[in-house]
This record gives sequence, C-alpha cells and structure tokens, in this order.
Amino acid sequence: MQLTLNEQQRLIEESALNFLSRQPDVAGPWYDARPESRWMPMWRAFAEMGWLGLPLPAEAGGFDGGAVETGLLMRAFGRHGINVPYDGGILLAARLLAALGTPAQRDRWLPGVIDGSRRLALAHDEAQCHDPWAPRATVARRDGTGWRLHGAKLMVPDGGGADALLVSARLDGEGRGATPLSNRDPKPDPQPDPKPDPQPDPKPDANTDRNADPKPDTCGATHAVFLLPMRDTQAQGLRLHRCHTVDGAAAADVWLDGVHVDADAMLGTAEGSDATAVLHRLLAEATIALCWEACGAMQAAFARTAVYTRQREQFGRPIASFQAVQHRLAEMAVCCEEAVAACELAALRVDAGLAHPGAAIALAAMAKSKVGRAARYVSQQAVQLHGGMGVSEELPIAGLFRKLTRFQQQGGSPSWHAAQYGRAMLASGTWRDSRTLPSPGAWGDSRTLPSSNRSSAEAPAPWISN
Amino acid sequence: MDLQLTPELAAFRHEVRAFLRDRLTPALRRGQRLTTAMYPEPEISGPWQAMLRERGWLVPLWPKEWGGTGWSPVQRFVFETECALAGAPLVHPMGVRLLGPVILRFGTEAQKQRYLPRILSGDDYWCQGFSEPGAGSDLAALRTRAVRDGDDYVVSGAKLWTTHAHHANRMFALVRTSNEGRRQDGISFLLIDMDAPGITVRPIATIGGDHDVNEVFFDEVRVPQANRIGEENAGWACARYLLEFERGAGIFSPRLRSQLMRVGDAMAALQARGLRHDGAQRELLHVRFGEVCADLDAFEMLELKTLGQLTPGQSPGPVSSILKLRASRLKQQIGELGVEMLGLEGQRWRDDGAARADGGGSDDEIVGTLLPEYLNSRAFTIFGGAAEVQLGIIARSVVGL
Repeated sequence: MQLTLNEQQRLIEESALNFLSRQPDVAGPWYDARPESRWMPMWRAFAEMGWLGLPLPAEAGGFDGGAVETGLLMRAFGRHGINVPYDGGILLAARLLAALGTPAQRDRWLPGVIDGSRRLALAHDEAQCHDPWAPRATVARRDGTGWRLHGAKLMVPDGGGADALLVSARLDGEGRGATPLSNRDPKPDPQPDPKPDPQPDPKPDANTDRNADPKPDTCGATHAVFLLPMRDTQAQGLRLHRCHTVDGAAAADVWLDGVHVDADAMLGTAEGSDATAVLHRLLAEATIALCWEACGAMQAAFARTAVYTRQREQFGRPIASFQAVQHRLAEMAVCCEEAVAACELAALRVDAGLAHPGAAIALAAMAKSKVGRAARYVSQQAVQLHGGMGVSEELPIAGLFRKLTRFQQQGGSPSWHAAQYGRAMLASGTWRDSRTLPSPGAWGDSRTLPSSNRSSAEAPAPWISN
Repeated sequence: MDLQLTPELAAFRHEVRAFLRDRLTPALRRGQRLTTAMYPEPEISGPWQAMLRERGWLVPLWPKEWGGTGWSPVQRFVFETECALAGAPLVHPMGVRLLGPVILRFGTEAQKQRYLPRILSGDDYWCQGFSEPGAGSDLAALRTRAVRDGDDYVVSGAKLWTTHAHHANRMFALVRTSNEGRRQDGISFLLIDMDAPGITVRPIATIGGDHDVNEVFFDEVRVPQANRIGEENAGWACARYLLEFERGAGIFSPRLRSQLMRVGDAMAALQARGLRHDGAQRELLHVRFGEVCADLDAFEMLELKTLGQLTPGQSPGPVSSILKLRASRLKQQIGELGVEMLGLEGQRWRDDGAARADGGGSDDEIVGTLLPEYLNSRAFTIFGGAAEVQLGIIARSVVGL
C-alpha cells in the first residue's frame, strides 16, 4: 500500500505542471474558442514528451500508463487552463482503437496519433438519449460486404478537426434490444430525432432483473465501433455541423444518412463480437479522467480566489478578513480535497483491475457525483468572491466557471450519476464494505457479520428493489 | 499510489477478524446497534474494553511500556474498520483516548502510576469537564475557579454538557486559577473525584431522548493540588493536546459506514413488513443514497490518505479540522437519509411495541433508532469545536489567511 505518488507519478506531474505553466495559453483568456493553429504546437510538444502515447499499450507504441498517471496529466491541464482534445482523442478514441482494432488498423493509425500528426475523435453521444451507457440509436446495417450507418451524433469533441471519426453504433438485428429499431423507417430523419428512442422490448422479468443487476442498465444491444477517415475521402451521406462547447472547445454535430463503409472500417474483425463492454469501460475511465481535470480547474479557481480576496479591499480592509468570506474559502478548500480523494479512489480501483465493466461505471458515477457537486460549489463561489470581476473575461475565473459548467453536463449530470451509483450500490450491496480496503475474505457467520462477508455483501439488497 | 494490502496488513486483518469472531458476543453487538446516544452505556463498553485489554489492543496510541501496540496509522485504520463493520461497541474514549495521552505527556511519574493502570482496567470511568454555561466554542472563557487553600484547591462553578457524568467516578476539568494576562494563561488541568462533597450532577434531557449529558455543579469542592496535571496556569497546553486527539486521532469513516448499515437494515426490516417505495420516491432515494455513498467513499479515501502520511503517534494537525467537519456533516447526512427513507414511520417516537405488533424479526428494533440517531446527530457539528470554529481553523491554516 502506498498512499502517496510514486517516483514516476511525481515526475509526470512535476514535468506536466512545469511545462504547462510556461505555455502562452496560460496568460489567458482561459477557455475561449481559439483556432487549431494556436494549440497544435503544444499538441506536438505533448507528442515529444510522450503524453499522447501515455495511456496506450506498449505493444502499440504507448507507455502503459494507468488511470493515476493519466489523471495527473489531466489535472495539470485543468490547473493551467489548457484546452486540448486529450480526453476524447486519446483517452477515448485512441484507446478504443488500441483495444478493439486489428493489427492492421492499429498500425495504420496509432503511430500517427502518438507522434501527433493525426488525430482521432469518438462520436458517441446522441440527441435521443443522454445516458452514455444506453444502447445507441445510431445503427449499422449490413450492406453487401460492408455496412451502412444511420444516425446522428451530438457535439463530437474535435469532430471537425480529427483525421478520422470513430462512430459507436448498434448492430442491426443483433442483441436483444434490436428488434424495434429495425422495424422503423430504414432512412432515419437527417435531423436529430426529437422523439424518444423506442424502448427495447422488456423481458418478462425486466424490472426485477434491472434492480438486481449490479451494473446500471448497460445491456440490450450489440455494438461496434466504425472508423471513418475524414480527410482523404468525404463519405457520402455524412454531414458535419461545426460548433463550440461553452469552454471554447471545438466540437461538431454529425449526421450519418446511410453512410456506406467497407467491412474493414469496423474495429476488430471477429464476426459476432460485441464492443459494448470495452466501449463502456473506456467511457467510464474517461469520465474519471475528466473528474481529475475538473479537480485541477477547481484548484486553480480556489487558489486564485484565495489570492484575490487577500488583495481586494472594501470597507477599508481585505475582504478575506470577513468571516463570511473565510468560511466560503474554507468550504472551497474542503471541496477540493474531497474531490481529489474521490478521483484517487476511482483511479486506484481502476488500476487494481476490475471484475466487469459495471464496476468501472459505478466508480465513474461515484467520482462524477462527488466531483460534479464540488465543482458546482467551488466555481460558483469563485465567481461570487471575485465580485464583478468574476463575471468578466478580464480574469480567468469566468473561463474556469464555463469549463466547470461544461464538466457538470459532460457525460451525464452529477445528480443522474448519483442515481446510477445509488442503484448500483443497493443492487450489489458493496456499500456495506470498506471501499478503500474491500474485503476479499469471508467470515464463517454471514448472519451475524453481514458487513464483512464478501459473499453476503454481494447479494442484492432486498430493499428499494420493490 | 496503490491500495493493495501488504501481506503483513492482510495477516493483521485476518488476526483482527479471528479475534472479533471469537470474542464479540451477539449481546455486545446488539447493544452497540441499539445505541442512539453518542457512546454506549458502561455495561456495553466495559466488557468490550476488558476483552481488548486482555488482547493488548486497547490503547494503540500509548507507548509500548504502557500497553501501546506500536501500530502504524494505517494498521489502526484496518483495526477500526474491522471493529466497526463487525458491529463492535465503541470504547468509552474519555480515559483511554483523551486523558491517557495527556497524563503520559504532561503527568508526573506518580500520576502515571496512580491513574494509568486504573484507566486500562476500567476501574476509573472518566468524564470531561470543559464546557461551561458561558464557555462553549470559546473555551478559554471558562470561569469555574480553583483557589489555593493549604494543599488543596477549592473549586466552585459549573460544567455543562458533561457526557456520562452520571456514570463517572472521576472528571478531568479545566479550571481558572488566575485572571491575570491572557485568558488562556490562567487555566489549570485538574483531576476531580466525583464523590467529593459539594458536587451535584443534574441530568439534561436532550433532543434524541437519551440521558447522555449533564450539568455538574461545584460548591467549594476540595481537590488536592497533587491532582493537577502540569504546572499551574499551564492547563491550556494540555487541553489543546487533548483536543487534537479528540478531533484527529479518531478514525471516523468506519463508524459512519456502520451507521449507514443500520439505515440499510432498518429499511430491510420495513420492507419485510410490506413497505414499498414506488416511482419517483424510489428514484429520489437512489439519488440521495448515491450521494451519501459517494461522499462517504471520498471521505474514507481522504481519511486513509491522511493517516497514511503520518508517522506513528503523529497528529494530523490542521487537516484534522477538515476531517472533523466532514465527518460530523456526514453523520448528519446519513441520519437525514435514514429519516427520509422511513417516510411516515419517521414520525413514530420511541415505541417499543411497534415492532412486536407487526410480528417482525430481530431487525425490527433497529427501525426505532433512526429518528433519535438523526436528532442526536445535530450535536456533532456543535461539540468539540463547532463547524464554524473548524471553518475558521481551516481558513487560517489551509487557506493561509
């Protein structure tokens, strides 16, 4: 057990903080929309320092970094207001390709990703359902030896700049949730569908099944991930709408109106394989990484607010001398400490190895609930304590507020994640055990020591399930 | 960073479990489960203290020659986690956790020989005489005075919120021995026999319906000067040292989780009686339960990390204010969750017949504990330095004001 950073982790954090503090971006304004040409030199420097390959497996040319290492990097980004498509491009898209792709697909794309000459983006979120674990409405249908993709993707990070899009899609006619969709109009509306996605046919015992399942509702369809090159060939039926998110990051809405792709566009080859588990695990781990980044932004907002309130004078004295201000600063400090601890717990559990994707999703929900609420408090108080300056773009505080506002919405709100976590904990019963030092052993007497009996702790809790 | 138990820690945990399995009786476990007050009654905590002492695990923080274990802080966390999750009673902390370290640090050899063995054996049951009617969070405002008279002090005044004064045979108290200079510099630390003439103990009814605290009056009570710990007028240093242990040496998260388990057990019992949570109610409970779990998980990690960075015997310093603040709020959050989940049953007040009328099982009696526990939990952000005091300490130290 080691409860402090190891030597390598300390080096990663130090060099990242050092390098990023010297970037021109740090001078501000923070989190404004800026052209790719402004941040690409920094991206290439990331490649030289090995950051773009950090979380990728060594056999793909990466460095086998774990969730703590990538978390430290993300936290440094947040600390210095660095806005780059690392989460979507590297932690999601590149890791997906490394995990699912054939050797040929990996060889074709990953060297360029790692050296910074090419970028990937993952198109996953959809207008029909804001639950990232729900079956996708975007569907892939057999078309000769290849596939046709129908659907719409929402605010794909770096979607307009990436050299290739990875598109998550449900495979038509496969998996238990597929039937209703395949009965729909074969040519979906090119606009995002305003109607709710038809629910998959519930199994006869769907209710009890759902509540007894330790995972949130993640099953119901077979998914695959397709790679669409964007630069060389502009596929027919593909439409992009470039936009920005509130933190100034470039994004794009993407419509797939029967886009044809060849068979080798699907990541992996094995017929009948299902990408859902890998997709969900990587989405969950990327959510945890976003929480680390938010912690960095919270620390920056807190540190700047502490300095500002010591300097700003009203009524003849620094406003930090007022108790009402001091207590808010103290609450902000507590929020930051707790949020960091939540991120560390989630990352350490990921790095220790997880039994199933549901465990990663539960950890992501825990972190997002905790860090999301803390981010809301810290960012709101940072603006409040800056007074008028807090709502102007003269200081980085407004940018940090916009960044942390986006974070709360990204991949599901804190309240929604809390519900996910509550449901998962109640179903699995793992909340009865220590979450830092969970028990692998068993007590002889499960009736009298239920808390420490692993086998009984994993039995579904009877309550809240009716 | 990693959370893997070393082989030594895993073996230690195994040892603790074996001990709990062998010694922790259903009666003691039930006694702790049904305790809604701050500490279990002496007939629950006493036998458990004796078992721990026999095993050599009663006073991990004391020096080895006095029965200390030499455990690392993380080892102590493992021990506390196993005890709490198994439902072991809380040891009454006044002697073993609070006064013991003060005597070890500031007491004379004679005082150590006289008091420490009786703390360990449980022959002395201590209470703490700090707060007064005019001195709560502002402890230095205390006015109970001790005037020299021959070899004695003559003590007059009143102490308030004295937990278990009605059980205790001794009190450690802060008294005013001087009105010169800084208020803090006129305070001494005295050990007082509760059966001395002139002491009156008045019970105070509290919000949760337990008899936990008292007001203690001193009417010219004679206390030998030999019962003073440390120099005259140097009692504030003892108090600060003790408060550091009160705030920081406690390991909170395991007991918070066992409190949450009680909420879970109560809900299971209500559902066994046929209670249903439907639709929006269920969704709401999922959110609330998820938030409490996430808060508790993060707090547990923060606490373990803080402990992991300490050397044995070291106090965590100002971070203990963050831990104290969050632990007390979590206690209240869990209490709130419990009452909210009770729904209509959250109105019923200490009705021993309720469970039996429905023919419920043994878990039924736990249902009635949630409401008193929640009411009592309101005190947790008040005693030991109110939440506002902790925020002030955090602002000054962590924020650097």
